[in-house]
Amino acid sequence: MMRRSFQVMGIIFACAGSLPAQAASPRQGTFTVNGKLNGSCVLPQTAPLTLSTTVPASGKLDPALSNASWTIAGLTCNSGSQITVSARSLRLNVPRTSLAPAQSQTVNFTAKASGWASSDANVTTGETTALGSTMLYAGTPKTQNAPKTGTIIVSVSNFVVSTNKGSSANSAKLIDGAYSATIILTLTPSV
Amino acid sequence: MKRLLMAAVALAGLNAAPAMAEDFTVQGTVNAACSAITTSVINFGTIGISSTTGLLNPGQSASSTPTEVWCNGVNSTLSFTGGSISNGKGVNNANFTSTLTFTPSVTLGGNDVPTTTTIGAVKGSLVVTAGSLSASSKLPTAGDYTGTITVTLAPAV
Repeated sequence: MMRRSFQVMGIIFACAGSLPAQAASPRQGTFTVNGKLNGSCVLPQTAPLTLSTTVPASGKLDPALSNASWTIAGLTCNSGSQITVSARSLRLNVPRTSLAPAQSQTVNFTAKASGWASSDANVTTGETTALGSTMLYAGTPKTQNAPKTGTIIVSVSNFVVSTNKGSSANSAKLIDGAYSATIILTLTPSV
Repeated sequence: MKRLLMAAVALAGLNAAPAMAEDFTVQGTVNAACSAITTSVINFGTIGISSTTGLLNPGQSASSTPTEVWCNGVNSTLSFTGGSISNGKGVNNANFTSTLTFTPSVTLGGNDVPTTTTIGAVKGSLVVTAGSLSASSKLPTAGDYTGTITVTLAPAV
């Protein structure tokens, strides 16, 4: 009787042990991948633009100066950006330290950059003396909201001889010689 | 005398009984399983672009922190998916992209493991890499990029 019981139990255990091994559920791991890309602008024209002219003995500014323009291609900003135009007045290259009344060695003008922001960026130099200075005048930044590639056209206009305030020399005569002005474009990413 | 005979018969009867021995089969089952995967952030940090072109610098990659894993099933497999990060900002300009692609890869115990590979019963250090970051020759827009790589260890007997 006991022997038969062992046999039965053995069969039961054998059956239980013969169940195949099971596979557990797969394991997953989700790795987060991060990176940061800073805002950046590429401005191929990094050197200031130079506006040059020679004033003859007549003291008359070359009227063709108002037709001067620069086309700057290949600008890129990978985020929104701001464009700013800055300029120094058109001034005698070797400026004098004193001038006779009704003489001037400085010309104010307006520089404008178009093609980037929805409205043109511009600046007008603000010299108030005939001697002038090397001060850099910065215009109001203009905003471009989206990443952009493009071309900017810089033009100049509104040339006005700078005279001493309070003098009657609104028609002051420019000293003859070589004059130059600098115009600086700045693109700043907004991110 | 009669008693002696009876005792002798009884002893003879005992000696004739067969020996009783049983073999017990010892069995057990170990199911196939794989360890959990401890994840970590795969961080490119600041993604490099050319200061003259604005294009993505080539050859950028980032890896996870090594983590120990195991599988005990001889037919266990490893697979992984994923391949891009995005800054979530739509861009309405064909010159730009806000999605960067990468090539995911995994090493286990220092050996490259192509996706959906039978790795068998194994124990080792798992490293996940996002390599060959690419903007498909477009200009990548600025921002914080994020994406995922999912690694699956599937136990199998």
